Amino acid sequence: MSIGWITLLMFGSMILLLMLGLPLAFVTGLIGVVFTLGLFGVDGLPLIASRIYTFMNEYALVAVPMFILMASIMERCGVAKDLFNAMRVWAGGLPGGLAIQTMIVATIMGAMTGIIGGEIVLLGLLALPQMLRLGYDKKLAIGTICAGGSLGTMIPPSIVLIIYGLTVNVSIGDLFIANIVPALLLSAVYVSYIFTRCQMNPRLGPAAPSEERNISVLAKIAMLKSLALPMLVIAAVLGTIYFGIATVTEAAGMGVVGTVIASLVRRELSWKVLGESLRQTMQTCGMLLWLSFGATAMIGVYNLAGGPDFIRELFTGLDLPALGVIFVMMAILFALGCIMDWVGICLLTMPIFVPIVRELGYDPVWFGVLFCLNMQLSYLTPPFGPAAFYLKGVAPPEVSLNDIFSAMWPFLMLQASVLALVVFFPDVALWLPKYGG
Amino acid sequence: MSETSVSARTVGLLGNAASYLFLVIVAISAFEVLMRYAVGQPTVWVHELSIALAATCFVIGGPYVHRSRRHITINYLFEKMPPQVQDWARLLCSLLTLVFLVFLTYATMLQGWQALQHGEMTGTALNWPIPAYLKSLFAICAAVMSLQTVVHVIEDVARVRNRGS
Repeated sequence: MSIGWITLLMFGSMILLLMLGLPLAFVTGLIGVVFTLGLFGVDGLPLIASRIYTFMNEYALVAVPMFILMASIMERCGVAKDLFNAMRVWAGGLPGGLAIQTMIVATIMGAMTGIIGGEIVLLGLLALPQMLRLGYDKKLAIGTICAGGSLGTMIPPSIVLIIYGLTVNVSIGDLFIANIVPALLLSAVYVSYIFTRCQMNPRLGPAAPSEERNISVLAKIAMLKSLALPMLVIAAVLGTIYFGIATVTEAAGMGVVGTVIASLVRRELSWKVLGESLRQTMQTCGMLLWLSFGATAMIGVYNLAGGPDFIRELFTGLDLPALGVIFVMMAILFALGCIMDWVGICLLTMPIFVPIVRELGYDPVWFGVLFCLNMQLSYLTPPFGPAAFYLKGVAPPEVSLNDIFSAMWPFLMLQASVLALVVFFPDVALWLPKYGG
Repeated sequence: MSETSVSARTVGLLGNAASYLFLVIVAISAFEVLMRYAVGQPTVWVHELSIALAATCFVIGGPYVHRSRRHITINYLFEKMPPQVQDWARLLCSLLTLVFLVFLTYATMLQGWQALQHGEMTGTALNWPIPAYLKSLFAICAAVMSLQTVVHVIEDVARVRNRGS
C-alpha cells in the first residue's frame, strides 16, 4: 500500500471513529494498533508499548500534574471570587466596565490555573450572572467569558506549551516566555473591543447603579489585600522559570507548595479540599496522558510507514513561499481544531510539521506560539468548541448553545488577527526570550 | 460500568490512594530545591523518583478514568443520533475499545515480562529497577482496562436488548 493511501485511510478512519463517539484516546490507539498489525505484523506491537513507555518517562511531563494540582487547589479556594469582587468595584461608571474587569480577572486567573474548563466554569458562575443582572448584551457577556476563559491555556504556565515543548524538543521555559506578550496582546485586544463597542453603544454594557459604586478608595484597596499571596505565588513560579533558577517541573512543584501555604494562610485549606484537588488531578492526568498514549501509538506507526517524508513532499509540491506553507499549516490546524482536542492535534501533527518549519528556517518557539493561538480559535469554534460546552454547563437556562456559539464570532476574528500579526511579525513573540532571558 | 459496581469502586479507591503520590512529588521537589540552594548538595534521586511516581499516576489514571467511561469523547454527532442508534454505536465503540486494549495488553505484557526477566534497571547512578516496575504496572493497567471494557460490552449488550424488548 502506498503512503498516500495509508495517510488517507488513517485520517478517514480517524474522523469516522471520532464521529461514532469512540473516545479520542482509543481512536488514535486503535488506528495505531491496526496499522501496525497490517504493515508490520504482530512483531511490530512491542514498538507501540516501548514508544508509550519512553513518552511517559519525560521529566518535563511531571510538571503537568503539578500545574493541574496548583490550579485545582486555587479553584477550590476563594481566590477567584475575591479577585473578581476586588476588581469589580473598580469598574466605576464606565460602560462595559464589568466586562472589561472580567477580562482582566480572566487574564490574571490564566496565570494561576491554565485549565480551560475550570476557568470558564468559574467565570460563568461569578461574572455571567452579574453582567446579565446589570442588563448586559447577552452575546457580549458570553463572548467575554468564553474568550477570556480560554486565555488560561495561552498564558504561562500552560499545559499546551509543555506538551508542545516535549513533542518537538524545544525549551519549555522559552515557550512560556515567548507566549507572554502575545497572550497579553490578545487580552488587550479583547479589552479594547469591549471598550469600543460599549462606547459606541453604552446600552450593551450598562454600569452598575451608583449606590453599588459608592465605595471609598481605601476600601477598594483593602479588598485587593487578600490577593497578595496568590499573586506572589504566580510571580514566584514564573520568575523562577524566567531567570532559570529551577526547572519548569521544580517551579511547578514549588508553585504547589506556595499555593498550599497561601490557602493555609487564607484558612481555606482542609483535607477535603486537598483530597478533591488530588482526585481531580488524577482524573485530568488520566484523560490527558492516555490521549497522548494513543496519539503516540498512531504517529509512531505513521512515522515508520514514511509519513513525514510524504507530507514534506506534499508541502514542497504546493510550490508556495515559506509563509504560504505556514498558512496552510495554520488552516490544517484550524480545521482539526474543529473536530479534535488540542493534545491529539499537537502529538499528531507537530512531529511532522515542526521539522518542515525548521527546514524553512523558522523558529520552532515561534511556531509554538502560533500553535497556541490557533488552539485558542479551536476552543471557540463549533461543533467541538470546549469553551461553549463548559459555559453551557453553568449558564442560566435561557442561554442556549446557539447563543454561545453566535457570541464567539467577534472574538474569533480578533484571535485570527492576532494570529496573523504574530505570523507576520515573529518578534511580537520572540523578542522577550531573545533579549530578556 | 456503573460507578457503584465493585470493580469500579476498587479502581476508584486505588486511584484515589495513588493521587497522594502527587503530594510526594511536591515534597521531594521542594526538598531538592532546598538541598541545592540552601545546602548546596543536589540529590541524585529526586529526578528519577519524581518521574517514576508521576508515571505511576499517569498509568493508573487510565483505568481510573475508564471506570466511569470518562475518556475525552467528541459526542457532537452521537448526541444527534436516535436513542436506539446510540445504543448500537455505544456497543460498537466498546468493542473497538476492547480490540485496542487487548492488543495493548499483549504488547505491554511482552514488554513488562522482558523487563521483569532481566530485572531491568535505570542504569543511572541510582540504578533502581524502575523500568521493570513501571513496565509491569503498565501491563497490569492495560489488562484492567480490558476487563473494564468487557464489563462495558456486557452492559451495552444488555441496553440494546432492553430497548428491543
